[in-house]
Amino acid sequence: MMGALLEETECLAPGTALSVLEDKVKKLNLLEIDRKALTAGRLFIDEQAHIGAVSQPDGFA
Amino acid sequence: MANERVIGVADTEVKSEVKLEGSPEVGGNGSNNGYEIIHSKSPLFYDLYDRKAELKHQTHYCPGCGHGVAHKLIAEALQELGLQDKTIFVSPVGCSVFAYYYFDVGNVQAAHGRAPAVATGVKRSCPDKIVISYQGDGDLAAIGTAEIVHAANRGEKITVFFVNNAIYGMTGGQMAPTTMVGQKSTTSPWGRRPSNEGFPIHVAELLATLEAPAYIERVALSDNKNIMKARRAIRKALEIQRDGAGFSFVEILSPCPTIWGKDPVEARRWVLEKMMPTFPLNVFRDRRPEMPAGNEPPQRPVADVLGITAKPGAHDTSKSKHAHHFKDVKIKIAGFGGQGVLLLGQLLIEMGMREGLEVSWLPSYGPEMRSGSAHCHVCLSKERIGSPLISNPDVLVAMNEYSLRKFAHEVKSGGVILYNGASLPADFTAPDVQVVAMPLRRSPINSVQPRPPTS
Repeated sequence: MMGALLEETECLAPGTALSVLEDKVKKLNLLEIDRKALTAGRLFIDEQAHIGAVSQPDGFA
Repeated sequence: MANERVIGVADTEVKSEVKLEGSPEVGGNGSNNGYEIIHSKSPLFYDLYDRKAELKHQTHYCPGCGHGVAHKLIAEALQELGLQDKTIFVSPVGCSVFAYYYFDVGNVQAAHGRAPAVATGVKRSCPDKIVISYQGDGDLAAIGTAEIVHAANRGEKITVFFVNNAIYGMTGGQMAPTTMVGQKSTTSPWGRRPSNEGFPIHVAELLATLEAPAYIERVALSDNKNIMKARRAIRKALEIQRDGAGFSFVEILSPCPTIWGKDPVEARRWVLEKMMPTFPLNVFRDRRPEMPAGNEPPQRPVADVLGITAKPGAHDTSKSKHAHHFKDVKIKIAGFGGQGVLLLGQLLIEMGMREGLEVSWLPSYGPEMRSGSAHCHVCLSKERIGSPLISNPDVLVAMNEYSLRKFAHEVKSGGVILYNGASLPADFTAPDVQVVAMPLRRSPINSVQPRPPTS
């Protein structure tokens, strides 16, 4: 869900997400799953939903 | 507050004379048994109480109420000490709730009973200010018992004025913690019985058992002599705070004619004859406590203390290439406990901090560790965040159908809902909002190959 959220809102850099996960998740096997989940969420929005960013009056995209 | 100052005919010194539009024509040059009646009031009070909806020339207090007298004594003490521009008044719930109508000083409204806690925050953030917590007995001695005890125990350098009229006034005369044995109220119609309702709480004596308070006194608005004593106590309490000496507390026995069913004169007499034997006037504490020296916290940035800056290998916020095309993003994440709802919010604010954004995270969850409903509010902003509470999020992450139905209507028009589900409920509609249903549980993440981040 985090990957989808970041891909949809573009509010934060995915690289930052990875660095946070690397700091917070101590078990390497779980970190690998988290990386895949992050990518899966991004792919879902990017390749399946194809809904793009949302523009709003306050500048949120 | 149309206070009347009665002076001798020969006394021509009039510090201030206020004639208010709409006020009754009383006094002026007219005589009253050889005395001239001058309408005057402390400049600490607004000339007109514009914050009131109507009757802006008078207070909301009942005739004979002690609050008006207490207000006057406090205002005059602040004026004499030259503290008007430094004073912040904290008023909670009860008859004293509208103090901000009258006092031309800084005003903060607090939740029921919480004035000492709010005053603590105000004083600690503005230590050079004079912070006053003005509370009634229902507020201070019932719902706010913990707040006053702990503020006093910490020796917060605030002043608390505790107006004790032995009853809940504003809400219609219910029994208060200070209601006396045998005293009738709407919730003790046969009189307070210790066997059923306990004894009245003596707050001044209770606080006097603590080490930290500097000054504790009980006074009464029963007659002129005691009112003059109350004036001195109020002034002294404020002087103690001005001098940074510690926690000061003045309990003011006060008439409540309306609820007691007495006229103003009878009510004052009742304070003298009935209340004072139960709540004897006294100076319970007058000393300057010395706080033992402790380990002072490091004066370093919070992020530095938390160790979240300049970590080797961590994202360098100063070199972030990510463009933030927004002023702020408000996100609400909701689901069951155990779904990572709160963790996702924490990760987002950690990411936001690393990208140099202002962030806030406000969790909300029940007593259950798992399976209970939980949600959190996340705000990422380029500017300082006024409140962490998000009423209308740009994005809702709904991890279950319950959360979707509960919060979908809050999402801003043009916002996004990310829903953890294969499909939306058949009867679900969300006009002007983009909804993405994501079957997370079926996502074949094991087949996904990690890809490099875009920035």
